[in-house]
Amino acid sequence: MKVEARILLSLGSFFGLMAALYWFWGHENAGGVMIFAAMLLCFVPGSYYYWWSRRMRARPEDDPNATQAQGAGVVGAFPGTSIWPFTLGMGAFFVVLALVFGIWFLVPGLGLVAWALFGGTAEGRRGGTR
Amino acid sequence: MSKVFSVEPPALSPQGVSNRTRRWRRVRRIVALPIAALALAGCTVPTFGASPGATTSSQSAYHLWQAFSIGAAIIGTLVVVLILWAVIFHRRTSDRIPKQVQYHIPLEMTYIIIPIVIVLGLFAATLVVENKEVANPKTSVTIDVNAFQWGWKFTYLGENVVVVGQTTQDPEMVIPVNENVHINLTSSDVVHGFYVHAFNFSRYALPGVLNEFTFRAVNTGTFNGQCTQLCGLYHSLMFFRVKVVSQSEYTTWLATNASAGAVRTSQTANESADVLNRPHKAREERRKQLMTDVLDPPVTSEPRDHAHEEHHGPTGILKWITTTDHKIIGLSYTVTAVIMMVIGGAFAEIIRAQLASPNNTLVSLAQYNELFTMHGSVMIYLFAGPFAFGALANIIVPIQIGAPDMAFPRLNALSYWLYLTGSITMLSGFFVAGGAANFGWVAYAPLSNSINTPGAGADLWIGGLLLTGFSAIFTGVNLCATIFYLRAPGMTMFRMPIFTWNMLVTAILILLAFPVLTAGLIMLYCDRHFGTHIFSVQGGGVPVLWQHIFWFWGHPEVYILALPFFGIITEIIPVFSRKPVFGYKGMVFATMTIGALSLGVWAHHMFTTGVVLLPFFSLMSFLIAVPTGIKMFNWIGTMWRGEIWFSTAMLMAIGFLFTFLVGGITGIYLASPPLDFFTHDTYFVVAHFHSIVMALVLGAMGGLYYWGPKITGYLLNETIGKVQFWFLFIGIQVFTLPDYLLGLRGMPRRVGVYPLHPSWQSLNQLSTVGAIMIGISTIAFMVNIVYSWKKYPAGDNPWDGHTLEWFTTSPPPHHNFYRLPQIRSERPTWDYNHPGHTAAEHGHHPSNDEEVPVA
Repeated sequence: MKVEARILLSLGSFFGLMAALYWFWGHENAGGVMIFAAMLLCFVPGSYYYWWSRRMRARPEDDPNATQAQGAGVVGAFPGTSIWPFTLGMGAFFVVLALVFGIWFLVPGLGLVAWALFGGTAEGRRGGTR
Repeated sequence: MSKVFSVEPPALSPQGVSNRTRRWRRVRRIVALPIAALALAGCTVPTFGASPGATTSSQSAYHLWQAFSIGAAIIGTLVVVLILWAVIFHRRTSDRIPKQVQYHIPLEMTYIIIPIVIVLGLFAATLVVENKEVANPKTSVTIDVNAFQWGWKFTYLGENVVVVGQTTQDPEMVIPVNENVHINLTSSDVVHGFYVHAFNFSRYALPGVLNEFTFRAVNTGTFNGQCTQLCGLYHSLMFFRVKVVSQSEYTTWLATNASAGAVRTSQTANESADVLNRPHKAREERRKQLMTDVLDPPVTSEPRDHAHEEHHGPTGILKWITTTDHKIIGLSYTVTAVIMMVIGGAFAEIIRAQLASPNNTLVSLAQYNELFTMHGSVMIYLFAGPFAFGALANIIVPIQIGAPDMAFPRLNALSYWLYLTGSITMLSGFFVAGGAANFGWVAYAPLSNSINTPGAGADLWIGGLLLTGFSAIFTGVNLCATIFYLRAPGMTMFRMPIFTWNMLVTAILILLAFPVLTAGLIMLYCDRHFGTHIFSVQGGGVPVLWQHIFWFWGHPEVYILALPFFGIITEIIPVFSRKPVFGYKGMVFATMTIGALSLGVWAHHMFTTGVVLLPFFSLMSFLIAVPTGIKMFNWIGTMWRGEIWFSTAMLMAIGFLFTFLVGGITGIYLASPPLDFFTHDTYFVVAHFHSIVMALVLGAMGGLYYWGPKITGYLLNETIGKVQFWFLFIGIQVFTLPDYLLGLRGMPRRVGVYPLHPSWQSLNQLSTVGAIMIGISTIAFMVNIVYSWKKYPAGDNPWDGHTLEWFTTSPPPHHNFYRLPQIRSERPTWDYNHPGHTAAEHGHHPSNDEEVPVA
C-alpha cells in the first residue's frame, strides 16, 4: 500500500508546486484553481492510502517473496451476470435525450434509473449470481 | 539466494582487432559520408520549408525555425539510424536467447541529461526571440482590426479611413514599409484567427479581449491573409490582404481615401459563396451506412469447454447484455471502438476527397464543417480513448496483474453502456434537422452557443460527450481500484508490466481531467438553454474560459490517448526482441513524469490567444519532451542486440517508432511560441497531431495482432497483416508529410475550399492518396478478420510472451486463471518458461546455478 500512497502523494505535491508557481507568476484564476483542485484530488485518496499503509500489515501483493498460497481466500464478490448496469445505462441515455428532445424523456429515464438503483442494491445484498 | 556474476571478455577476431573496434570504424565511415557531402554542398543553411517572411519578427522566427530544424535533423537522424541499425543487424537469425540486459545506468543517465540540456537550450532561444517580438516599440501607424462573421474591418486610428470587406471581397490593409505598425485586434462575435503567412504570424481575435501586437514590414508587396480559427459556415472564405507600400504611396493612399469620406468596401461578391453550398448526393448513403454500422452487435468468440465448468449464465444476446465479465465487456468495447474508427475514417476519406481540388463541391461548406467536427469527435472521444482504456486495458490489465476480474464488474458494464449510448447519441446528430455538430471537435465558445450554432445536433454532441465522459471516469476508477487492490501475491507495484503501469497513470489522468470537461459541458449547456452567460461577453462572461477548461482536459487527454499505446508498444517490443524492457524503472518514472507534466501544458494550445503565460507553458511543454525521448531510447535499447522477430505486431511497433518520431519532433517546434504563431491552426499542426494519432493507430493495430489471439484463441493471418502494415505505414507518411509542407506554405486548417495556389493542390492530392492507402489498409484488416475466422488456433502462448496473460489459456476462463506461477520479476511467464535467463544489468549475467523461481 505504501507505493500506491507515495505515487498519489508525490503527484499531488508536484501539482501543489505547479499551482503555486502558476498562481503567483500567471495571475490567472481558472488554471490556478484547476491545478489546485488536481492537487486535492491526489491528496485525498493518497493520504487515505498513506493512513492505512501505516496501520496494516503488508498484503501478499506488497511482499516481493509472497507465494501464491498466501493469496488464498475470498478475494471479493464478482457477480457473474447482472441486468442492472444495462438498465441504468439506458436510464442515463433517456435522461440525456431529455436534455435535447424534451423533458418528457425524463419519465422513462428517471424511472429506469430508479429501477436499476433498487434492483442493483437488492442484487448486491443477495450477492448476485456467480 | 546468492548471486554470482561473471564478466564476459570481448570476442577477438583472428587479427587481434576486437569486433567492437571494427564496428566502430564502420560506423565512422558511414557517418563521415553525409557530413562530407553536406560540407561540399556549401555552408548555406537550408530553409527547412519555411520562408524568412516580410517583417522583422518573421525573420527572427524564421531563424529560430532553422535552429530548431538543425537540432531536429540531427536528433531525428540519430534515432532513425539507431532504429534501423537494431532492426537490420539484430534481426532474428536463430532461436538463441540473447543476453537479458535490462539496465545500463550510465547510458540511461546520458539520454536523460542530454535531452534536458537540449530542451533548455531551445527554451532559451525561444525566450530571446519571444522577448524581441513582445517588446512594444514606438509606433507611427495604429490600426484597429475587427474580425466578424465573415469579414474584416480595418480602422486607421487618427485618420478618417475604414476598410471593410466580407468573405470573398478580400479587404485590403495598406501599411507603409519600414514603419512599426501597431494592431489592436478584437472580434465582435466568435473567435477568429488573424494570420498572414508572409509575416510568419497569427493571433486570435477574441470577443471581449483586446489583443495588441506590432510588426514592421521590410518588403513591399501584397500578402495574403486568412482567418485560421474555425468561425462558422464561411470560415474557408474569410480572406484579407495586406499591402505593404512605400511611405509616400501610403500617404497618398490615406489622403485619397480620407477625402473620399471613410468607409471603403469592395463590391459585393457574396453570391459566389453560395455556389459552393450545393446539396450533395452522398449524404443519404452515409446515413444508411451509419445506421448499419452503429447497431452491429459485437463479435464474441465461443468460450472453451473448460470455461463452462464454473460459470453458467445466460447465452446469446442476453449474455451480452447482462455480462459483467471484463473480457466480454472489453470485447464489446473493442468491436464498438473499431466500428467507430471505420466511421471516423469514412468521414476522413470524404474530407480528403473534398480537398483533392481547390473549389470542390463534393460536399457543401456546411456539410464539410459537420464532417470534420464529427471526424475529430468520433476519433478522439469514441475511438482512441475507449479503445485504449475500455477495450485493451479492460481485457488485459486484470490478467496481467493476476486478478479475477475488474474491481467493480457491474460499474464496468455500466461504463460500456454509457459509452455505447453516448456514441449513438453523438452520431444521431446526422439525423436531426440542421445536421450534426459543426463547431470543431473543440467547440470553442462563443461559436458553440445557441445563437451561432442552434439546433439539436450540437446538443446531441454535448449529451453524447457527457455520457462517454462518465463512462471514462467510471473506467478510470475501476482501473485504479483493480491495480491497487487486486494484484496477485508477489506482484508488487514495481513488478507490474509497463502496459499496466501506463494504464494506471492514464486512469489517474482520466480522474483528474474528465470531470473538468464534464463541468465545462454542463456550463456550455446552461449557456445554450438556461440563459446563463458563462462564455458570452454580452452577459459579462469570458469566452476564453471555455478554452482553459477544454484544454485543461484536452492536453491530459492527449496523454490519456498516447500512454496506453506507449504501453502496448512496450509489451510488443520486448516479446519480439526476446529481451526484458530496457530501463524498466526509467520507463515507469518517464510515464509518471509525463502524467505529472501533462497537467501543466494545456495553454500551449492557446499561445495565439495572447492571454496566457507564454514562458510557463513553453517551458513545461519543452520539458515533457524529455520523458518521451527517454521512452524512445528505451525502446531502441530493448531491441538492441535482441533477436527481432518481424511479426505483424512487431512491424506495427517499429512503424509506430518512426511515425511517432516525426510527430514528436514536430511537437517540440510547437512548444515554442514564436514558431507556434506561424504554424498555429495551419496544416502543420494538423500534420503534427496526425503523425501522433496515426502512430497510435499503428500501436492499436499492433495491440490487436498481439493480444487478439489471447482474446479470441485464434491468430490472424500474418501475410494479410503485413500487407495491411505496409499500406498503413506508407499511407500515413504519404498522408501526413505533404501536410507539413502545406502548413508551412500557409494553408489554414478546417477549410473546405482553398484558393488556387501553385503547390497547394498537388500537396493536397498527395495527402489524399495517402488517405486512400490508409483506407485500403483498413479494408485489408477487415478481410483478414473474415479470412482468418477460427482458422489458426493460437495456443496459450504463441509469442513466447513475458507477462501473466500468456500463462493462462486462450481465451482465458471465467475469472482468468486456473493457477498462477510464482511472481519474482515483471516477467513471471518468461521466468517460468526460461529459468536461467533472468534479467540483469549491463555487463553482468546470472550464472547458471542461480536459484530460479519455479511454480
